[in-house]
Amino acid sequence: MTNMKKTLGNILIYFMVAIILIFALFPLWWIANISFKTSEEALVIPPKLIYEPTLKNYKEVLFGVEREDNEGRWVPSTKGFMKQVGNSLVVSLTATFVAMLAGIPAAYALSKFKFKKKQNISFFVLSTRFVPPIVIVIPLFVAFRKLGLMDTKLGLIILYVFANLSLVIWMMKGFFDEMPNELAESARVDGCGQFGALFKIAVPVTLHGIAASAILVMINCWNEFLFAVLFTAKNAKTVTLAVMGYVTVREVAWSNMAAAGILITIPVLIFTIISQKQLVQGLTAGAVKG
Amino acid sequence: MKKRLVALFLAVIFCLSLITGCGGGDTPGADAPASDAPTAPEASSEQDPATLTEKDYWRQCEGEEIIFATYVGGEADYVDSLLSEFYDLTGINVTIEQYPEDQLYQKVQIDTVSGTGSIDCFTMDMMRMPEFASSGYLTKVQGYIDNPQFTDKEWYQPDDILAGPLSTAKYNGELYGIPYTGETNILMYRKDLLEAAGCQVPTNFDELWDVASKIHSKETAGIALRGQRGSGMNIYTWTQFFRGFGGEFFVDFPNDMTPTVNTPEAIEATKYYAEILQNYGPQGVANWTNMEVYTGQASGKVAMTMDANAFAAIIEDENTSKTRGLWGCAMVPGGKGGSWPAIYSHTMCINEFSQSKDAAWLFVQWVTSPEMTLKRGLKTGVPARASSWEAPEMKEQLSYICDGTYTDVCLESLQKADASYRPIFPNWNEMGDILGIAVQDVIAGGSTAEEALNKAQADIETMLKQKGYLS
Amino acid sequence: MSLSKRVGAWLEKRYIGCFLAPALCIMGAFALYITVALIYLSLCSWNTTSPAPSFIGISNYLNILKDTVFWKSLGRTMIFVVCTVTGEIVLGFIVAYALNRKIRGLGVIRTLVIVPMAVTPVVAAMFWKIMYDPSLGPINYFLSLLGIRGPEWLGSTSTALISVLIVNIWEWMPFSFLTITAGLNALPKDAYEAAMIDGATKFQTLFKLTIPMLKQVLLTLILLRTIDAMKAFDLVFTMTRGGPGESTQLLPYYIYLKGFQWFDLGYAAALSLVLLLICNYGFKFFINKTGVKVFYD
Repeated sequence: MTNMKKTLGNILIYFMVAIILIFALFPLWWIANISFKTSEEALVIPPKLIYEPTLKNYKEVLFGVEREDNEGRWVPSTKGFMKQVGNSLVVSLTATFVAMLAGIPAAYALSKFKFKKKQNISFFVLSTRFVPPIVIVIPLFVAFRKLGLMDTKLGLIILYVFANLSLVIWMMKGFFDEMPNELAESARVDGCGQFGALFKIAVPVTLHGIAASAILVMINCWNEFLFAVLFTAKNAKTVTLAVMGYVTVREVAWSNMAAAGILITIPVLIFTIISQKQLVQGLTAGAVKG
Repeated sequence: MKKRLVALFLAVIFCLSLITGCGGGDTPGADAPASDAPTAPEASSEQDPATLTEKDYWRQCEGEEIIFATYVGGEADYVDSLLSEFYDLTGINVTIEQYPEDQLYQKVQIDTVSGTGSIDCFTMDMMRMPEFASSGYLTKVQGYIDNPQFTDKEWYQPDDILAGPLSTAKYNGELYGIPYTGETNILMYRKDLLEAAGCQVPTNFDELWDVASKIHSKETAGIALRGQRGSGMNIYTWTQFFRGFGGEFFVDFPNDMTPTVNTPEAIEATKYYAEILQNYGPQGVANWTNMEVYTGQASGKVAMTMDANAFAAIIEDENTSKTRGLWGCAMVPGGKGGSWPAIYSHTMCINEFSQSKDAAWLFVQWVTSPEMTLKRGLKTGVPARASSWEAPEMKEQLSYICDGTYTDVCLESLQKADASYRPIFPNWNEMGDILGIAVQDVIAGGSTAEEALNKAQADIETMLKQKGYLS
Repeated sequence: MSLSKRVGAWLEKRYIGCFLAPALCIMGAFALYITVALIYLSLCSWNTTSPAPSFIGISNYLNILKDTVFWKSLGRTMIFVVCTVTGEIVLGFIVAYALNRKIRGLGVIRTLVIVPMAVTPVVAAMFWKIMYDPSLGPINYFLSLLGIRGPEWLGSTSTALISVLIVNIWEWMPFSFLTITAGLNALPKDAYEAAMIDGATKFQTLFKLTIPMLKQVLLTLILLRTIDAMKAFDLVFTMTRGGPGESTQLLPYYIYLKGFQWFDLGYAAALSLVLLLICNYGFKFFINKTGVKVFYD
C-alpha cells in the first residue's frame, strides 16, 4: 500500500519535473533548432522538426561571409565574431580579477573586524547595487570622453569592476562569516600579520567561494549589454553586441543570430555546470548559516 | 596612506591594461601606401575623369581621420569595403562604427550633448534630425554644396537627389544633411491569392478592406500592418490611413501647433486601422514591428502589407523567403484625403563639434555621389537619387522583385511622397510615441479609438504646452 | 630596519583601512561623481528646446508629482517586482523541494533546470518575443496541437505584462532554485527526525519546520531579486517597448523614453534620482523590518 503510494508520488514528481524541464529548456532547444536551419526555414510555422541540419550559420558567424556570396541580399556581418570573443574574454577576465582583488579584502574586513561606521559602509556597498544602469549612463559618458576611455577595453573593465564589486563583497563576506574566527586568530599567533591571515589562511580556506563569486562576475560581464553598446564602438566591441548585430535596419538574420547566441551561451553553460556546487554554496554562504 | 594605495592600485590596473592591450586599436588603412598624385577612384572616373583629376579639392584634408557612425547592416559593410578607394582619392582615413539603430541615436545624442565631437558624421533618422538641428548639433551643408572649393556640382549633381528625401533633410528651410537612403511605402500583395479570390489590386481603402476580407484565411492573414507603439513604428504605417482619411496633425503646422488628433477623420482612420487588423490581421499583430511583418510575409502568414519598400528585397529573396516570386506591388491605396505613401530617409549629417568637418563633408559627398548612390542602391534597393532608380543596372538587378515592377512603383511613390507626411519638428518623437501608445491600445482592444485619441490629444497638448509650442 | 619592513609594519597597523581602501575608493569615486552629476542635472532643463543644461530649480520634481504616466509606471513596476519575485521564489522553492530527494537522474535534472540562467538575457528576450508570437512563433502552434487556443501573449493589453513576467521568471527561477536547494541541504537532519517521531504530516513539517528554518535564505533571495527586478529594462526594451498601450511600461523604460527617446535629460535625471531614492529607502526599510542578515552583525 505504502509502496503504491510511493510509486504514485514518484510518478507525480517525475511528471512535474518533466513540465518544469520543458519550460526551462524549450527556448534554448528552439534557438538551437533555428541555428541549424536555413534562414528560409527558420521561422516557418508549422515548424519542421525533421530537416537537414546545416552548419552554414555557425560557419558564417565564426568566420564571416565571403563578400561575393551576398550578391543581391544583405548579409549583416561579414567579419565573423572572433575578435569580439577575444575582447569579451579579456574584459571579463580582467574585470573579474580586479573586482576580486579589491573586493576580497574589503569583504574580509567587513566580516571579521569591528570599526566605526561599519553599518554605513556596509549599506553603501550594498546600495551601489540599487543603481539602475540606465541612470548613470549620461554622467559617465561625459567623464569617459574626458579621460579618453571611450571604446577601450580599459573603460569597459572599469565599468564592470564598479558594477560587480558589491556582488563580490556581498558573496565573499558570506564566506568569511562562515569561516571560524579562531582560524585567523591562530594564524596571527603564528606570527602572520593581518595581511598574512587574509592571504595565507582566509583565501585558501574560501577558495570555493572565490571561484563561485568569480564565475558569477564573469558571467555578468560576458552577458552585459547596455554599457557595452554605449561605451564601445569598434575596437572594444563585445560578444553580446556582435549577436545583436544580426538585427539590422532591414533584416533580422534569425538563423545567424541563433547560431551566435548558442555559441556565446556554451562557455557560460559549461562554467555554470562545472561550478554549480560552488555557486550554490557561494550564493547562500551567509544566509544558510543564519 | 590611502593616496598611496590608490596610486598602487591604479598602477596595477595600468599594468594590466598594458598586458592585455587595452585601448589598442588597429587603424585600418594606416599602412596603405599614400600616393603622391591624386588618383580618382574608378567609380568617378567613369563620370568625368577630367574634372576630378584636375580638382585637387579632394586632397585638401589629406591625413585626417574621421569616424562615421551608422546603423548595422550590409550597407555599412559595403561602404566599409570601398573605403580604400576613398582613401586613395583623398588620403582621409575613415572608420565606420556600426550600431543597432536605437543605440546609434543614443550614441550620437550623448556624443553631441557632451559636445565631444568624436563622431564626425553619422546617419540620422529623418524624424530625429530636427531635435539635433534645433539644438545646433548639426552642420549646415548648403554652404559646402555651393562652394566650388568643396563641391564640383557638375560631378555631384545635387539636383538629381529626389525632392522628397531631400526635403526630409531640411529643417526651417536649412539643409542639415544629405539623404543617405530614400525609402517609401508600397502596397505588396500575394498575386496568387488575389487571383484565386478574383480580386483586383486595391486602390482605395474600401477596396483594400474588401480584398483583405476575401483573401483572409486561417493560414494566411489578409493584411498585416505594424502594431507596436512608436513614432517610427505603428505611427509610420498608421499615418498612411490618418492622412488618407483626411486627418491632419495640427490646425496649421507650424504656425498653429494645436494638435488635431481626435478629429472625426482621425477616429475613423484609427478605427479602420484597428478593425482591419482585428478582423483580417494575424493574431498578435498589436505587438508586431516591421520585423514580424516581413517575417510573416516571407513565411507565408501574411498576404498583404503597406510597409517599407526596402523589405521587398528580402521577401523576394531566394535565400530568405518561402514565398518568393509570389508578390506584386503597387502604390499604396488612399482615401478621401488622397493617397499618402510614407516617406523615410536616413540623412547623412556632420557633427557641429567635429574637428574635421571639411573631411567629413568630402566623405558625405563621396558616399552620396551619383556613382556611389547607385552602387549602394544596388545592394539595398533604396537609393535617394532619381538617376539610380532609372539606371539600367538597377532595373536589371532588382528585376526579381515583383516581376520587375518594383523600381517603377518605387520611383513613382518616392516622387509622390511628401516630406510633410509626418510633421518635422523637434518634439515629433514624443508626440508620435504618445499617438503610438493610443493606436496600439486600440488594436489590442484596451480602449476605443475615441477614448484613446482623446487621451492622446490631451497628453500631446500638455506636452506641447510644457515645451512652449502652445500657450 | 629596512624601509620595506618599516612600511610593512606601518601598513599592518592600519590593516582595516588597507583592506577597505581599494574597493571603497572605486565605489566611492563612482558614487560621488554620479550622485553629484545627477543632482545637478535634475535641477536643470536640458532638452530639445534648451540644448545646454540651464538651471531651473526644482520644477522637474514638481512636474514629476503631476506626471500621471510616472505614477502609473511606478505602480506597474511595483506589481512587476512583487509578481516576479514571488513567482521566481515560489517556483524555485517547489522545484527545489520536489528535487530534494533521491530520485534517478537527479544530478542531470538539476543541471538542466539551471540552463536558462546561462542564456544571454538580450538573446533570450529576442527569441522569446518571436516564440510568443501567435502567428509566427511555436508556442501557440504547439498549444493548438494540444487543442488549446493560445492567448495573444504580448499582443494584448491584458496578457502582455504576464508574458514579460513569465520570461523574467524563466530566466531567474534557476537562481532561486539553486539557492533554496543549498538552503535545504544545510538544514539539520535531526529536527526532521524529531518531527517524524512526533507524527507530523508532510505539510506540517513543510510549513512549521522547513520554511521557518529557511527564513534567512528566503529573505536574502527576496532582497537580491528585488534589487534586480527594480532595474528590469532589457526585457521590456527588447520585447514590447512598453506596449501594448502602456501595459508593460516599467519605470526604467520610462526613464529611457524620457532621456534617450524624447531627449529630456534633465527630467530623466530627476526621475532617475527619484527611482534611486525609492530603491535606497525601500531596501533600507526592508532590511530593518525583516532583520535580514545582510551586512549587519
